[in-house]
Amino acid sequence: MPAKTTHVIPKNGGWAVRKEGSTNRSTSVYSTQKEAIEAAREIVQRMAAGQVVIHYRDGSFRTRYTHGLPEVHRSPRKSKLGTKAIERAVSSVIRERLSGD
Amino acid sequence: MPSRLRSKDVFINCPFDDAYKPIFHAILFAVHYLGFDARCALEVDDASELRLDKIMRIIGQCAYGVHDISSVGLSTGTNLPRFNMPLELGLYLGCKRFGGGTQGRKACLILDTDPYRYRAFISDISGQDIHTHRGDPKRAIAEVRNWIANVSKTKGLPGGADIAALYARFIKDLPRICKKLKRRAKDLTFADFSEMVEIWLKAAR
Repeated sequence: MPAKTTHVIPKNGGWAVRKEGSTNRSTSVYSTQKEAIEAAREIVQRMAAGQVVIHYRDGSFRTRYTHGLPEVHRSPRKSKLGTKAIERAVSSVIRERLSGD
Repeated sequence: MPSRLRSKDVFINCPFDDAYKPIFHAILFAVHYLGFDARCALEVDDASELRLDKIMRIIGQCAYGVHDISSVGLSTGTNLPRFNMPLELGLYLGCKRFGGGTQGRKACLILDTDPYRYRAFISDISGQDIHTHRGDPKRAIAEVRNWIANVSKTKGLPGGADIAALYARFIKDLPRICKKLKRRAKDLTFADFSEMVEIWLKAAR
């Protein structure tokens, strides 16, 4: 499936932009998060459907500029593992995968 | 008083044993990806509520239902058939027919492994449109996707093959996510798995 998400991740003191599912390891690194988010936004705007996911240094993430994708329904029933803990684990695994670790 | 239907809630009526889990999890993933909320008897850990009361309460709230009647074979322990899924399908159909209020708007998908097999054990549902997954999670995803697109009249949803490919990526990430949470994937509760799917979809679809 063509990936729909473009990630903004902390990298070497700056911010990298990486496409989900991309086998291309070349990464654009920006000195500010704002520049990286803008570059990611331009990428997803060219897609029929897409979203930008910004990963923060504290392990949390935020989804922005979603278009052409179904809204993910958030269930009122929560895991006892904790939403924040799951978010940090998911973000960490994605960042490791995108870094090729 | 009839329950108020929740237009995004999908009741999942299926076996919860390990052998069926690949299809159960694939159905849950597809339901969440399509923007709906999967509900089932496993969602509430409340010993004070009788199981049947819990099931009927959830059925009364769900606008949609996915019923898999494929696992009605004899239990190895007792050599008796398993009737929970057909019973809950009957409750769902009864609620739609006699529940009053908006309950008549309920819709359901009935799944089995093979076409027409159901006629040998539940012939009263002949005439209903029974869909088959042949024990394949990818086919189950495609059936759920096509049915939801149809009954919810939602256009532009990704195809079943696309959702199945995304599910394969999620399953690949799942052990590493669990490891970070110091949990084994096989020990996840329904609430754990559902919330992991929701969060992963928001981050990686």
